[in-house]
Amino acid sequence: MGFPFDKAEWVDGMEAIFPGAGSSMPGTWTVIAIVICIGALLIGQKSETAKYKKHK
Amino acid sequence: MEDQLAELAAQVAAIEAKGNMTNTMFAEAYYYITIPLMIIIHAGFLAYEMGASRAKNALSSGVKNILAFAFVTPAFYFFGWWVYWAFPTGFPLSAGPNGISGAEYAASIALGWGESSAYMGPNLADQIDGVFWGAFTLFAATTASIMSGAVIERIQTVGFVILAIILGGFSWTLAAAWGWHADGWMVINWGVHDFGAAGLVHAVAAFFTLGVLINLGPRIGKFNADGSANDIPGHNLPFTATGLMLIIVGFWGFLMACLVVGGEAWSWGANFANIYGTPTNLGALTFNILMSIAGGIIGAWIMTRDPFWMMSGALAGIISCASGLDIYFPAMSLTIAFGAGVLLKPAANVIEKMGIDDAVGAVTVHGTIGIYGMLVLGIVASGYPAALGEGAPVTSFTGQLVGAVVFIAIGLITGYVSSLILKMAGMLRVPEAAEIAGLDTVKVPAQAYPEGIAVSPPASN
Repeated sequence: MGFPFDKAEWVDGMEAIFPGAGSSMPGTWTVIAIVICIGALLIGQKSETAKYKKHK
Repeated sequence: MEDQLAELAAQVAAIEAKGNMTNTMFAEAYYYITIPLMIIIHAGFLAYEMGASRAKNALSSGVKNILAFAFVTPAFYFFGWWVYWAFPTGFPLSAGPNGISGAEYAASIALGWGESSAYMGPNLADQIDGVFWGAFTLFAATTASIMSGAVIERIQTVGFVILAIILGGFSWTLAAAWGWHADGWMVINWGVHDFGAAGLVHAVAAFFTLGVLINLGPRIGKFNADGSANDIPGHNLPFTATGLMLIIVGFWGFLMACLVVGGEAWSWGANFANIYGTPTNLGALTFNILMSIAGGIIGAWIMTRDPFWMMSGALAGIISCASGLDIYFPAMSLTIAFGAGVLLKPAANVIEKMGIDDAVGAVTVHGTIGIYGMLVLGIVASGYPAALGEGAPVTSFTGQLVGAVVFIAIGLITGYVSSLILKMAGMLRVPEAAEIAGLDTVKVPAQAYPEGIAVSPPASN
């Protein structure tokens, strides 16, 4: 993680500037974010189902 | 031939002049637009804290919030702007390496009297200072609004306004001078990076508020004799949740104003720069703001299922990523913000267990999460040059930690000391009888709900 260029200096012509640009890091973060979203839906569904059971 | 070359050169110069003027006018309009957008933040805080108050205090909470805006604005004109330009190198008030700081420089551009006044009023040769001052003034007013919600239902109006002036005119401005200004000692020596002001606006305001809350004490009925806490629900949660959404709308203006427009001084050539002069753009902000809002809401939903905390989670999501919105990767923002949303309610519970009555969770949302955001940047985005030029300091966890500690200290010390003085002067807390009766009845010549909060009459037909 960190500055994605060899030399710690801002110069003209730079493109992607996020941490890990040009490496596998962005993909890793994207997978983590997808897992969070799906995990949240699963937990939410479990909780919601439990609430409905109480009100049958 | 020479005549033709001279004519061509004149035409090129004319085109260049027009281009520069167009750019300057764009910059002027850009900052001008951030101001009404940031006023939406205040509309949001107004709704938020009126809804979070019990019905007997709804209007007095609103009066307090409106007055904060009214008094912080002139305070920032009278001395706040001067503080920002005078203090970057620290208390000696000397000039910094970029030559745009120190007492002498500040006195030449940021005071409403003498030669300096030329820059503090309408000036056809100066199209930036007015709108730039306006954007900073709204940052200042935002700090006061952050405090405003936490202290509802028991603080005196004038005492609160004095605190708002100190916070908006001095405390956060000092932090901005040190951690935001291109000559700021924390930027130059420690590589502190706080693009969207997670620390220097949010955490400073929150820890100032904590200092005030210590002296102010909890609302009557908040805590039991055994130290356990009671919930004091506001009278209108939908109003509060809508206010929080308005704050988020206004945040786009707040963060927009944290950029330097391309082509202007301190920009990255023809492109946008952050306030440190290093490159970024509106695309970076758009990706990261939206993903951080989403992450914060999801985290808070998982923990609470409560719309108040979910909307607070949205705010916490942005604040948690604010330091690095200019450089983060979007999925990284969602992940960081999710962490903030999860952290939110447990952190608020810790504050409550300490006997602090923060009526809207401001210390947690803005303070705990602001510091979390600053420190996370030191982990996930270390090694970034914090300023321009070869050998510029780089971001690091140590630098972010130093920044966080300084911001906490500025807020907590100034908030605690100023509120202690007001307490000793009898200007901090309302009398017990007034608090029990309700502050609207005691001092507001209007009723929030003269017909009560009734079910609507039947529709025709």
